[in-house]
Amino acid sequence: MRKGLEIFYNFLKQDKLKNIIIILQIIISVFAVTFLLVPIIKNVETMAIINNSNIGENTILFSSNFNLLISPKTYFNENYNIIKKFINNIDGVSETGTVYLASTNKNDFNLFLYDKLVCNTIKLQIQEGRWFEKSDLESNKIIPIIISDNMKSEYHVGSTIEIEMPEYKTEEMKKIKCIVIGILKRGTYMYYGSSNHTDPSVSDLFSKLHLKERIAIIPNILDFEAEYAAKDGIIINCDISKLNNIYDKINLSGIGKINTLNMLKQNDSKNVILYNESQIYQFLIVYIFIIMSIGGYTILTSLNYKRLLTIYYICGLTWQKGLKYIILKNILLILIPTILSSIFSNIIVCYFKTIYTFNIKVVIITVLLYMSIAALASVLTIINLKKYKPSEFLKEVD
Amino acid sequence: MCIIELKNLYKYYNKGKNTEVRALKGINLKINKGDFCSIVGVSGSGKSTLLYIIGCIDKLTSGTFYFEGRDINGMKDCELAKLRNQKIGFVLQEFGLIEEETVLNNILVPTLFSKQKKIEEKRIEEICEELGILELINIQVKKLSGGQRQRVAIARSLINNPDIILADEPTGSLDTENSYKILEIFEKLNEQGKTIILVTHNMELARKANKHFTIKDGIIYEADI
Ligand SMILES: Nc1ncnc2c1ncn2[C@@H]1O[C@H](COP(=O)(O)OP(=O)(O)O)[C@@H](O)[C@H]1O
Ligand SMILES: [Mg+2]
Repeated sequence: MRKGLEIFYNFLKQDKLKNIIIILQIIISVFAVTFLLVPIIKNVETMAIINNSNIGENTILFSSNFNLLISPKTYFNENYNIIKKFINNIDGVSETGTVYLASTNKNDFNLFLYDKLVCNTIKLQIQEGRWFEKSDLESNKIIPIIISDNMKSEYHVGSTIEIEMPEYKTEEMKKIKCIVIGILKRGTYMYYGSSNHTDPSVSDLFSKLHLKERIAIIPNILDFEAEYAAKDGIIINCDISKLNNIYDKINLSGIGKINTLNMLKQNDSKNVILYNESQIYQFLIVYIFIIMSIGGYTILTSLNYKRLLTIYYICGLTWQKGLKYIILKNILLILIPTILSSIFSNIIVCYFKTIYTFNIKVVIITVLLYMSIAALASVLTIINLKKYKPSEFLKEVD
Repeated sequence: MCIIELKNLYKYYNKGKNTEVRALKGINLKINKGDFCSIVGVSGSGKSTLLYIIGCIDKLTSGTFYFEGRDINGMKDCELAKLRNQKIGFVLQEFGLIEEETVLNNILVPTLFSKQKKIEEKRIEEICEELGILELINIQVKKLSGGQRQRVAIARSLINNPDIILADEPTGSLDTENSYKILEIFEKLNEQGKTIILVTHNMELARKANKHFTIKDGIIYEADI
């Protein structure tokens, strides 16, 4: 083992400068790949949720106007009721729906209330049990609850959870028995109901649920008005023929903006950097260039490896084992920088663009992409050295 | 006791292609334990080819080759590697050393492939002392002179205590004085019981051996010089 590592290390030491160039190339290109992949993956994943949801022609999304200083990201009951009432009174609006965060720390999780329309429109991904159905929302005798994956050890589908919530008017704490009907997928996306942009996109609607974040969702079908913080994004169900009227009214009032799903989809390609055709071509060119140059390097570098391999062969290493060391070196030299650079660049992207959260899928896809380079380098090495005879090298030296 | 026995051995390079080279054409050769043989021949006569086959570096095309009575033909790659590691020491004209490594690391290369736990420091010291390179042990090979390098190569060939030393024109790039010094080393090793096959085209040096061969066009002749 120790000797094996020493042999491996000696192979690794060959061609330091070229290895450094390869590593730099990988690090830089992985950054470019990440900047491209992060928005694409988020778009693909959130579109999957949208497609599974009931967002139709008559669904529009309201987001409050961030240019207005008086417009906060969350509203407490009183303020919020004013806005909601205003929207509900516009001709053509048939129903509105909002997400509320219960203002209490009595529960050992964050409790979200979804208005009926939200429950019916948005369908989050469930690993066990089911999402809210029409029948769940009809009576408020048994309140259904959906919990996050990390609460699985304490509750399962069918168990009851007692939650506590303050009533808005009396400030009296109320205890409510809920029954677990579903468990969210691990690391899936959550609909928090906020509009992060003045021009929100599909990707903005959902945020990745942090693995440590304990949340539970109940439909807002309580028989009292709970004290809450309402999110600023509102789902509106409307008569599509009166869309212009709704649009004008809301625009004129200056409280915010409305978007249809198609507008959200369009905004996705507008908002998201590095996500258009020409950039994909650029990426492809860069990628092919890297593959070719790394392939070239493996051929060039192999002269030094041939030397070392031949010396080792004469001293008692089999040719095949020697090849394995070189291939292992190729793979590690490509994969380790890829993994590190990918993780690092993902962190950077998520830090500067807060709508993105760290997504291991991006890292995995990047690594798979670069594995093809490692495979190519290995195939080239084998082709180059397999038929090669040590005696030929000794002749070259002569 | 016969350590090397070649019977009707042929070696063709690029067999069947139009670049085919018939390097060895029916070699019969017996070398006994403790022999000091010299092989001379003009460039291209097949000296190196023969030595590579005896050293289990290259494979023969036809014929038989017994190493210490064992038929080489039936051996697997790993068995051949073990032979190279344990039984054979190889010294090349161009030394075949790792330039960037120290003398010590070069000498220790064969120990990387042996099962042995660790080589005794005393043994390394002894070998280096005898070859006069003890004080060079931590110096990079690329800083050494030709004569010094060849001593390092010899030290490396000795480290696993092989039975037989194969030297392919070891003095080819050395001046006369250094050549004789290297030859003295081989004589001394032979006195200690090692079998030595020395390929050279220097007749003076070849004469010092106690068995003499010449190769011409891939055929070997025993010669008295
Ligand atoms: N790997 C090889 N491929 C093809 N021909 C070779 C190879 N090695 C040696 N030869 C040829 O075989 C013959 C013998 O070469 P070699 O054994 O190196 O001779 P020497 O060592 O006596 O100079 C020469 O004609 C040489 O060109
Ligand atoms: Mg030669």
